Amino acid sequence: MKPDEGSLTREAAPERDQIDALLLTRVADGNREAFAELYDRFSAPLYGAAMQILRDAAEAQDVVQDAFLTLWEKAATFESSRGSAFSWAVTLVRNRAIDRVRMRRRRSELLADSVPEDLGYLAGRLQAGGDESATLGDEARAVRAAVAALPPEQQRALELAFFGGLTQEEIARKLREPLGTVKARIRRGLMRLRDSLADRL
Amino acid sequence: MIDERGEEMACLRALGLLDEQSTGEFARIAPPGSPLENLVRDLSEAAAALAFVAAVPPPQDLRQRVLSAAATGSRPRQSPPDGPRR
Repeated sequence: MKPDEGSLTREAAPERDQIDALLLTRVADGNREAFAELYDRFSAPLYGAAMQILRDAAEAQDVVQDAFLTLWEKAATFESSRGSAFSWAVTLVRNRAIDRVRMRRRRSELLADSVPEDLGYLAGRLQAGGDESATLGDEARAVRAAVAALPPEQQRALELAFFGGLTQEEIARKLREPLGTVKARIRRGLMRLRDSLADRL
Repeated sequence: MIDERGEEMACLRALGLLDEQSTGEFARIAPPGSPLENLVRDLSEAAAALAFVAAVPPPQDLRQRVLSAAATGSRPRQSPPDGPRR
């Protein structure tokens, strides 16, 4: 059952999701090997997302650990009809990371201090991450290629929407664009990403 | 047929960007099993995939910390808690 390293490169998405769901079922029964396997499958994207949102390695590790312990404790509540195990895990990490970012922001009351300053992070990552994505498997390569194919303004809108921890209005202010324009960019970008990854989701 | 407004709300919902009022409105127009709810599920998967763009291996010791914390904690809960799953 345990896929070896690089297993994501050989699994079609439905099979990958089925394996993740099966692992989560075994985790719900208290199976620690399944939990370790789930960690190996999810930890790189979860940690990367937490790092991108928080910009702090210690906090990112705390968030990832907390999310995995939630998966461990609440695995029995997982319903595959509502989404994939991976999507659930990402939601756990993202919510925790964004909560921390917003807490920082409330403390500082300086919005600019806690939002990503280097807009275009995704673009830089997409250009420079070739070797890195090779070690992470086909999934990372496919998603990075799909995002790279989006117009830059849609990439930036999605970047702030997913990693920025900002509201719609804050994204519009950050981009100095009308709210309607921002919403349209998010819609076009995410719909196109969904279509590009259709055979993988 | 889902119009642009529906798509827009579905995208914002998938990214957790709907405010409280819009969330209530969306719940009314996207009941369980509706095309709009299905769209949100698909878009949520696409949004989650964005994590792969930032993917980076975590420090080696995090794995042991996570596994140890689970080992010393209680067994997974067998009954769902109240409230939504996520």
